[in-house]
Amino acid sequence: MSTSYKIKQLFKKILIANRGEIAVRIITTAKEMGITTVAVYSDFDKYSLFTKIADEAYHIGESISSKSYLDAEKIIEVAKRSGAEAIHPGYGFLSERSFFAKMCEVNGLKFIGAGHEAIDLLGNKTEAKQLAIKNKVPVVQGTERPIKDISEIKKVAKKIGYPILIKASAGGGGKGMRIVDQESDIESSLDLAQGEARSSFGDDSVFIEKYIASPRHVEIQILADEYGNVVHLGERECSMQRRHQKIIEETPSVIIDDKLRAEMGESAKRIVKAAGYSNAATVEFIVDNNNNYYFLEVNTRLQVEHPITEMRTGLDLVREQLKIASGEKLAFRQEDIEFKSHSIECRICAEDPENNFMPSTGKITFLKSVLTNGMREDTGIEQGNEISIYYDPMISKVISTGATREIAIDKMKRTLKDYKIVGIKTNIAFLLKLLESSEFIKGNYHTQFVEKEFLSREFKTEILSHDIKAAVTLAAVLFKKNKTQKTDSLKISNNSIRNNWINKRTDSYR
Amino acid sequence: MNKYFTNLYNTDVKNETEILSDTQALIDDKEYSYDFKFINDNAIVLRINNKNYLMTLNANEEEEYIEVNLDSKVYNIFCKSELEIMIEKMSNGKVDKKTRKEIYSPMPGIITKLNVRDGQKVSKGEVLLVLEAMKMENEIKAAKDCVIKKINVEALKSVEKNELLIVLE
Repeated sequence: MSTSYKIKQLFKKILIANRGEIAVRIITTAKEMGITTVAVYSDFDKYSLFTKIADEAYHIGESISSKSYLDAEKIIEVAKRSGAEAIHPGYGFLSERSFFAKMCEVNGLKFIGAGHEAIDLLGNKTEAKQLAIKNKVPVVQGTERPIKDISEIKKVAKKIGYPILIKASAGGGGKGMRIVDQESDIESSLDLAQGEARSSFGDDSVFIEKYIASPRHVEIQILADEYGNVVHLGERECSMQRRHQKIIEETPSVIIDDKLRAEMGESAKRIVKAAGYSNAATVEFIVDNNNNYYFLEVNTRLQVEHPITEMRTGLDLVREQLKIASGEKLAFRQEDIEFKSHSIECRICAEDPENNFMPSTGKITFLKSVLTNGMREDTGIEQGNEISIYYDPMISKVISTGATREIAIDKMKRTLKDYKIVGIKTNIAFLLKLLESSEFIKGNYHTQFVEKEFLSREFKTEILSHDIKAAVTLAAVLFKKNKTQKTDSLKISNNSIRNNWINKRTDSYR
Repeated sequence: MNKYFTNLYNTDVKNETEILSDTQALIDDKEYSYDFKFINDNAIVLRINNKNYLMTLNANEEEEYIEVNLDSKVYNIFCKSELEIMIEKMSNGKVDKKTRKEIYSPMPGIITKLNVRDGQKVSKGEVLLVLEAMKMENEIKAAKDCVIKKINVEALKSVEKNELLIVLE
């Protein structure tokens, strides 16, 4: 049997096993490359943007994701029926489930991502940590294998000292994660972490580690082909977080200089290489106050915040993923990667910052953004769409790029101010406040900043100018008048229909 | 009747606005010339003395105010016409406030955990149920020591915002 056989030709048709903005993102690049795209959708998403721009769209089940976007068998069945050669999983849903990668392989479909062995190895945080230690990458102290037993957790916690972090073995995106400050809180925190882990990932084992206060979250983007070539594309600063969810990301990080970047980049590459990994990966690190970095985990998929790396390096990561998966070699080496410009991403979420960030649902009755001068928006929503309880509240990403950090911030602020959305509450005003905080402006923030400092901050009530007072007042009055007139005219027209009808009846009886 | 009374929420800014014509308005006795166009029901371009304002608007039916969004800042404005104020004065009706004996759903979601049953005594801070929305679990806790009178929901069922969840004694 020949072992040198490799598909060097790009896929002709791929299926995108995801929804929303990331489905739109992947479909766009695939179409640019001349690849036919297949979307799959739940009841709720029947006419969502991604289903309309895809070449083909197949219904796969109910709105609740366990009966659609998490239904691996159904998705595989559609892939085969539609004649797709490969599946791009996006992020979330099935993207980091090795069983799904394996199912693809068994069914003769290429999984656009890492091989299932590498996902298994790196997706398991305990084994990934071992791999890091073996490859001389610094790690945080903690348990070396997943545990379920509460007394064992208490014992380890005592040894490494509080606060500790309870993390679901298969977790991510802040789900299934709890900080515990004292022994008496362990039981309830464990319950919640396991509950979330079970419903999101179907696996409830956890591990615990020493909790580093006020750390930064810095991650390295990696591309690896199937021939052992690995490059890093620099870092992303993701410390602006709330409930462990990133809300603003930027690259470069203010605290990372060329030397540290190269060092972290090489560390990340060592782990990925040792895992025999191919395709796109993100190696996450936490960085303490003294710029010591510790390995956190590897995300074996495309990240939500990948666009800022694209803007900084000029590479299209989805294009690279598709090329790698179809058996091409990386067309560049480490020294070819150029880092230019500064890029920032803001995640627009359907939530109410005034009300403890409660998810906000409803119909988007008006939507408009003005994206000029190199601004980018990766979105999955359109005017008229409903935002439901079924899926993530993150609905769109605004990405700004400038020659300097200051320019990128200015452009982001302008775009967010001009971003108009009606019908749901969003975090846009909150994002603007963050961008205007002195900590963000100086680049002096950490993962605890939003929750421990920013949210408790009192904001001076702005003194409104006469012009603004007049504008908002008059707008409200005109809105009210417009509405009243509409209802009135509706009443009148109803009456006239009724009068008309009576007339006709009388006529015919005459 | 083209007179309106407005109050900017959380401030002492009160205005009296009179629409004189399609291009002239009187705001607190000061005359402004304006032009406007509704882009759709919820968005307006307003030009006041040649200054441009693109604003979006939404009526908050529950709280009876209008949310005006300018440069991604929200201004909540109570707005009543002269006529409405007259009608209110005539009826002067009182609406019963919801008593604290009922727990309503703060958002739409799915009840993933129901920890209590009818007649159960619970103490302050106890988790009564867990409401999951958009993959985040939210604990609904007892605000004080009390007895559960009736549970109105079932585990693993979805609920709407403001749906009655639990009645307390």
